[in-house]
Amino acid sequence: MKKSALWAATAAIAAILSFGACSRPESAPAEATDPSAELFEQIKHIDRLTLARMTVEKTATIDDLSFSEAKGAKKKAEALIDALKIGDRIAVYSYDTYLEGYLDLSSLRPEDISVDTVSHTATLRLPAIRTRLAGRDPEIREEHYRVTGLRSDIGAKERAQLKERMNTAVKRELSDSNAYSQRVELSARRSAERYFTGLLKGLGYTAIISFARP
Amino acid sequence: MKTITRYIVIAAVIAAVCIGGWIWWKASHSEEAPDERGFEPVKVAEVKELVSLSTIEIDREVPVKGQIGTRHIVASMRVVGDISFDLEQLRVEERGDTIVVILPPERITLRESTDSGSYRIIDQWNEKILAGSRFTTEEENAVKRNALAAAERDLRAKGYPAMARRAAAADVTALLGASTGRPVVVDTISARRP
Repeated sequence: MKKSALWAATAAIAAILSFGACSRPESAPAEATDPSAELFEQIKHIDRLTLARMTVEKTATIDDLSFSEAKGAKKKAEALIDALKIGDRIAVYSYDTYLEGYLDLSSLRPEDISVDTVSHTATLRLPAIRTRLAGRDPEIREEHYRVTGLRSDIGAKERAQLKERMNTAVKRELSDSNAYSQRVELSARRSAERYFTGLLKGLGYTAIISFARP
Repeated sequence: MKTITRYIVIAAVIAAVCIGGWIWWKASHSEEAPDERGFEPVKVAEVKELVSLSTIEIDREVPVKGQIGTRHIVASMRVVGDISFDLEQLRVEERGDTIVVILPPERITLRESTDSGSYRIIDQWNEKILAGSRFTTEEENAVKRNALAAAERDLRAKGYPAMARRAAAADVTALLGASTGRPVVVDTISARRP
């Protein structure tokens, strides 16, 4: 009696579970999404006069960590593991980043430009020169590559991670020293003076150029 | 005696757990200095003087997809750039009192953003099982070039160069007109691209 009751209960549970599985509504089909619609895009109207561009090169090497260079238990362990690996793994990569000096023409006011038609003199008070990071080259240069023995090749992910670390270093170095931005600003001023003087001279005007304080 | 030994062992285990926990907490909460081993200091390769008027700024995410043989790569790239006009190539003519200016062809510049995470590898695979999926540096560079070329075609198809040209014409008219006190006409017909 007990055995038959047990079998009956088992059969009932199995029936309930299978009914539930059969009658489970199908999950709604995943909505087809247009991948391009999810991508970020921003287009902005600007009035920027770029007057100087500095190309800054960053180079980095991927190679094994030596035991003497390693600091801390974790790095020492990494160096020990690298020493046991068969073969060499050395690569050198570089890429360029751009720093620009520019004027924001939208901050130019009517009172900043005056012209004396009698003496043919134009006085321009240009906005202060500003500097900005204008992006980096998407391509990376492989200056050297040597992977031998049983070592793993250096792939796209590792290169991307290296470039990310290099990028952080570039931004820090450029912001830590004024020398870079000052050099770009100086070139930008020279470029603005040369250009506007030449342009207005070609039209028969003498240009007097000055810059607003930052 | 046995009881004392047991208490000593328990105390030693508790002490070991506390010390181990403290070491783990310190290790997980300590800020690691950025790994810049093997990095050379930045080097100034070039400083160029130019006069380039930008009237449209671009900031967008671009899909990077490539296939070489049976190997595939998919990535995402944040791209920044602008549509600009080289004012040193500006042609200026005088017709009576009027200054006629012809804008040079527009230039679309697209570069990788310097914001963190601007280039991410999403997936890499080989259709053949057990075959490698690695892309060499030059292969990956070629895939990126194609992605940027596609992005530029997309910008042109959307009519942004014409918008940029109209805005540049307005800027040049205002600047030259105010500097000379004379009427300025800017030719807004898009010059043929070389």
